[in-house]
Amino acid sequence: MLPHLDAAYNLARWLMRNEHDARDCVQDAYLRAFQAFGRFRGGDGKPWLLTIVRNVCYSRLRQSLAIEPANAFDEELHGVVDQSAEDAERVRREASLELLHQTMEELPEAMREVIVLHDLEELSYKEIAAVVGIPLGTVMSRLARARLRLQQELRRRLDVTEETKP
Amino acid sequence: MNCDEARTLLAAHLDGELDVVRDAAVVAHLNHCPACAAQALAHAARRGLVQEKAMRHAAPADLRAGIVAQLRGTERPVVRPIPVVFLRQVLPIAAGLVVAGLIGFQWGAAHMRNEAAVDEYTTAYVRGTSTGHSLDVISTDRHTVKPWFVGKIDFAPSVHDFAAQEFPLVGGRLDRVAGQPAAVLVYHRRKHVIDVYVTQGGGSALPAIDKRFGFNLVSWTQDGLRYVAVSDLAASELGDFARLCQSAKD
Repeated sequence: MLPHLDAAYNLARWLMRNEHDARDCVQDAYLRAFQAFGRFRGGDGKPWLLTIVRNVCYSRLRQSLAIEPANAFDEELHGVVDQSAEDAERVRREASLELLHQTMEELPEAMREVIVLHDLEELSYKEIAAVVGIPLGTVMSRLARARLRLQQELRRRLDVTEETKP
Repeated sequence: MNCDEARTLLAAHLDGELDVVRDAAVVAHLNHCPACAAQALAHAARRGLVQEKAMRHAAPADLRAGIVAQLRGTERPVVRPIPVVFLRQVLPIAAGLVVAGLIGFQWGAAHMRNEAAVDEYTTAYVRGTSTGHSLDVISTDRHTVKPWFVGKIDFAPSVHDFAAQEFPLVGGRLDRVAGQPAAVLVYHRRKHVIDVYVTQGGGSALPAIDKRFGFNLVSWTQDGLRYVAVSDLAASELGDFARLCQSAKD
């Protein structure tokens, strides 16, 4: 039994975007977690472990490529963006799993990770704030923005597919 | 609440992350603002998109085995010594404030020993359950498990089966924790494993109830022996189990 292995792998897989690097990061993270038991200050182990996984992933990503700075898109959307519910519903109905995967992988890391942590791993805003190291208010706005961006990207791709149909 | 305020809070409202007061204000606003209510629907659709489409990557089956093999080759974390810097800082203060300094230092050191001891138990539990070497004797019969320890350790743990209360005994093993031989009694609760470490006590005092890395730990003393129950089970259920053990009679 290893606690939270699926959660650790899921986060690493979405951040690294391939199985090989994800496996390496998870292995490394468990080793670090195991050696750092003593520094764990109680509470739920899942956010603690995911923080370690995230740190390992980011240090690898930094070695290989530049990460988009997170602030860039926290700023860009202070105004209210309207999207009709019908539009949102249509995307939800028509987007294939494959398209969704592809679009998620092309989101900036900072957006992808809050979606994974909240919508897939079901962490609370407070836990996400601790894992990512950002204020609670930023979690709220970044998550809303990340979902909107995902939706808009999906719609754009669906529209392109539609136009190319004979 | 105006529309701008309401819309910045819509996502948090749908995620159930708002405090009661602000949540009520959002609901009140949505009840009389069709435009914002429509936005709430759009939010809900976006939110459902990822959640409903089974996008979670499951860990590959062989990854678990790889990690376990790696951990098995790793030394158990050593008991943390008191850092030199800590001593350097504390000693001059103690010299000045002899009484206060000594009390504080001793409390601190005792606290660190406590934590190190707790770590030993959780680490033993994780190694036991993750390496597959969790049982040396497999039996649900306490009359098989108890005699198995005879000759292997020089004390006799109290062994009971609590299958009737849904904590079945599944067996036992020998282990070492905090530098002492331990008789480990293994119980199940649904899919959870409970290890009960029985030692002759002595060494660092342990807190009666503790929680570490998501594992709960309950300890008590009975007939001069120290019992420490460790599990990933919820604290309340592990507490029930500990009471059951303490009330059982041979």
